[in-house]
Amino acid sequence: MASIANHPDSGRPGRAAARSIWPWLLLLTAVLVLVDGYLIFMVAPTDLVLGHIQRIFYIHVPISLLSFIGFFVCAVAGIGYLIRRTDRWDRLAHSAAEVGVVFVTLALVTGVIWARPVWGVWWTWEPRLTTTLILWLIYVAYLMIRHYAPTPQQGRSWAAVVGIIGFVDVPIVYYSVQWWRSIHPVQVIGPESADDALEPIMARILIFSFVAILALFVYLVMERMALRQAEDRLSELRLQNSDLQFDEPFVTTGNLIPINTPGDTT
Amino acid sequence: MGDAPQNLPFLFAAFAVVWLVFFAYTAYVSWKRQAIQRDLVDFSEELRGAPRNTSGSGNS
Repeated sequence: MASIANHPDSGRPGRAAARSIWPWLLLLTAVLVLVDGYLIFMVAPTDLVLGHIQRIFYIHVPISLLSFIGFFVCAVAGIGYLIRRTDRWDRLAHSAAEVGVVFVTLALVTGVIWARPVWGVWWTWEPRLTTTLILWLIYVAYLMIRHYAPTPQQGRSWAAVVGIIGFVDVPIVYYSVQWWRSIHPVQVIGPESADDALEPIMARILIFSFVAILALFVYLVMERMALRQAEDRLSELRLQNSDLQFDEPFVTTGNLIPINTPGDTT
Repeated sequence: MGDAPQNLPFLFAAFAVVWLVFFAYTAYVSWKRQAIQRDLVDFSEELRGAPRNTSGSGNS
């Protein structure tokens, strides 16, 4: 009979060690975020042209960049899954994509809130905004494919392909402000940014913000991977013991657990 | 900088949305993971007392 205790994943020292650092990572993230808030509101100079609203920049830019990193991890893990067909790659791809969608959603929302007082409109169909919206749609489709595919196995394979192809949009988003006429500011970070694009104090606070939000990003991906692993383990147990008779039907607390089909053994 | 104070509600809204969403998503994932861990323990305990189905059909 299968049980949690004798599951092959349960006794790995690497996993136990990884879980033991979670509270510390969360604590570190909380401290970094608090210090980041202090730097953004108390230390960063007020922009002469835009005023206080420019402070959105210190979260808008790191969140946008981390969504790109999330989709890059999703694409790489998708390639890994298509080659190796192991659950670990799929969990990483799924988790990075979901966290990436949260981040790109926030990038769009903060961009919209910034655009209203600066451009006078909530939304305009200029290249950077449009390509970012397309990126959001691609990875929402990625998550929907996983959920609605006929079998989990097909969902994983199809989603891996979408995740890889969808990543093509990321460099398009990044370079859109150079390739097309745009009202969006040019890059202040990355290969195409100018050396004097920012005041040194602004650049240092931007880097600190990036590190703080990166810590949160890593924590969220790890936590989401642990959730996927627990879901997989439960559905595997249910499949292995589908010939047992219970006094009462077993109802799970989380009602979105996929029930694997007999052919799905990865 | 005369117009700067007028933009403060937008600044507040942006930061509030970001941190509310981050907090809600973190709490949701953490809560759901703990719920499924509990389900795993419950299911494992159910397995210890459940007889095998001899009719050949699985149960739900």
